[in-house]
Amino acid sequence: MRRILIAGAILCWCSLAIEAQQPAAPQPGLKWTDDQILKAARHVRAGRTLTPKSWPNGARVAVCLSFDPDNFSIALNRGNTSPVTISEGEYGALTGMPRILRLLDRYNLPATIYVPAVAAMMHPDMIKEVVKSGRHEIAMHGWIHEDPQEINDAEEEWRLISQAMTLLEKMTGKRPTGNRNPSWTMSQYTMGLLKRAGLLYDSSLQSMDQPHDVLIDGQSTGIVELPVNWILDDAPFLPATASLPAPRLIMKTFKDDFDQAYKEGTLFMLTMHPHITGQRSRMKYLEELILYMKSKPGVWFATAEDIAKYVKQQTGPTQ
Amino acid sequence: MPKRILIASIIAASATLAAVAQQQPLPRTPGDTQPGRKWTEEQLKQAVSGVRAGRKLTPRSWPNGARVAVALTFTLNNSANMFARADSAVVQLTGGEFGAVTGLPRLLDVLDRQNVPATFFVAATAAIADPQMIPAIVKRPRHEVGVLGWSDENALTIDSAAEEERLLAKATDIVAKAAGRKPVGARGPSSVLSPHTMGILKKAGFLYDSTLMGMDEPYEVLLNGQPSGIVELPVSRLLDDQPTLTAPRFGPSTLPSPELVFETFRDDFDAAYQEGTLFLLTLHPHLIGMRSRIGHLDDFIAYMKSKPNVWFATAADIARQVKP
Repeated sequence: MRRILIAGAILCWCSLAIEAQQPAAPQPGLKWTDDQILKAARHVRAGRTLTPKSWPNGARVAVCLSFDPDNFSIALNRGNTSPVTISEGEYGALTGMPRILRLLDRYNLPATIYVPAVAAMMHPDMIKEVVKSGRHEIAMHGWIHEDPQEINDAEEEWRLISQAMTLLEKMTGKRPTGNRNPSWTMSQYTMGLLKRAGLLYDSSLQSMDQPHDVLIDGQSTGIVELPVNWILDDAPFLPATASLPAPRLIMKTFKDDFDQAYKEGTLFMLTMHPHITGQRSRMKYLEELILYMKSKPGVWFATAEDIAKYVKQQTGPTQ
Repeated sequence: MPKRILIASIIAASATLAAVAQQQPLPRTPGDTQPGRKWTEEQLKQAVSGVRAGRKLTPRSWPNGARVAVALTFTLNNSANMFARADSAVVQLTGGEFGAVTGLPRLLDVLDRQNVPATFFVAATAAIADPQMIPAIVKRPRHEVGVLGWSDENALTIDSAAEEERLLAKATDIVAKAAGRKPVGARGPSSVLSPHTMGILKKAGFLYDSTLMGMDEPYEVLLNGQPSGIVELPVSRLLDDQPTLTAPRFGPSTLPSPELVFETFRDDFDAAYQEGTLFLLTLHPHLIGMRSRIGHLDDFIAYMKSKPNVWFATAADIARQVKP
């Protein structure tokens, strides 16, 4: 008992110390009624799972390699034009993306490129290079990697979505059918606006690790969600100041995740950034991961668009 | 007026015009933290036109048919950034002093034993605090000394071209006197350049800069859209010991495992060797000079030396080789 008491005292002291350091976050939600809780929790929610009985040609798992060439759009949106910051982003367009495209060419693999419209505008050659092979999909990633939650204005968000779609269509000759929201952040309006834009699929939500329908206020939207996850993304780990800048260890996690997706027969969606994974010391591990996945029988490498189309065709109308 | 001079003055005039256009303030609504989303295409392009990557400068082959150029660069800021912030915290200052009194001598020994050249970017106030450093470096004539600003200051915070120019001139002077040679290379203190810095370096006649990250091979810097003649020998945060190996109390310390950090250095070198470009490493004597790390550096240099056709050179020699 005495030991427990001491432990309790230490715990209390620690939490007091932490409290003293950080002002407690306001918690107005503690006063919400059940209805208010349900309204918040159920506004945008996962609908039924949409993994088909089997993938094309009897494949066991669908693999989507996706790249977000944000380059310096994030900084530019924030009004940060400092030369070193711009150069760090520029690396993605000038060095990272060409290196990634060479790797994808070597193995004849398709990929989906979620590009902020302004990043495409700033580096039109990068877009030309992506389109050249005919294998890759170009899809939406905001106008300038904006944060719609912070903007919190449906009209302004619609302006940005519309002009992004128009610009990408003009540059690629094809209207995008898919979306990934910048920083995986959405406002209360985003999903409704994506439906209004007539998009086939989205790739920003995180409630499952297989394709699913998206519900808005309980109603099926028919939008196919190809979910993402922060642990299948290079950004939180691999930049020098991120949490584990050790590509060998992170690609091992990606491989373990793939193995389980393969076992379960669902979807392996990987999110990478040309200015991060396109660095010289990261590429060999991506190549090893690709070779590993290719060594397994029944792996379908596809663009997110092709996966969403197949899912929709196999699982029937969702509304 | 000879034609060449005429063209040159037209270019100069249009560069000035571009610089003026650059100074047109971009619209910002007070309180809006995402101003860029409202900028027009022209304004967006203007916003990033100051300093950009120009053409690649990697030569067909390096001297004596070498496949890759290796620049070992060391940033000697020690406690300079604390001086800039008028911070005289006693124990923290010793963390920087370690670089001068322990890290650097240990490092110079390793470089002597491996017989490879290196480049040291020194902050002027670090040289004032520890005047023995630069003489110890230049006693080995294969090394180069470059400038790291006056006191590892943040040029963006200074926000004045005149003040920045004054600090750089003063710093260059101190480093030149101590080294007995005018420095030809600069690295932006605090890994930062202001919109004015590159123009100031050009005016002061610097051969190269080593602060930007637009590529992983040498390139020419574009200044307001015009080729500047300045060689950029780009750095990478992944080829820098600061983010990963700083002591936890003083910095990010994201991967305090020299073994894993050097694994990345080695993988990066292997790819640079394959691609035939440049491998430029940025280390700090107060971090890499610690006992548990110096052996990894020693082994890594030995590894690079074991490959055929690797050209170890100072940043200045590499810049001279590729200068447009």
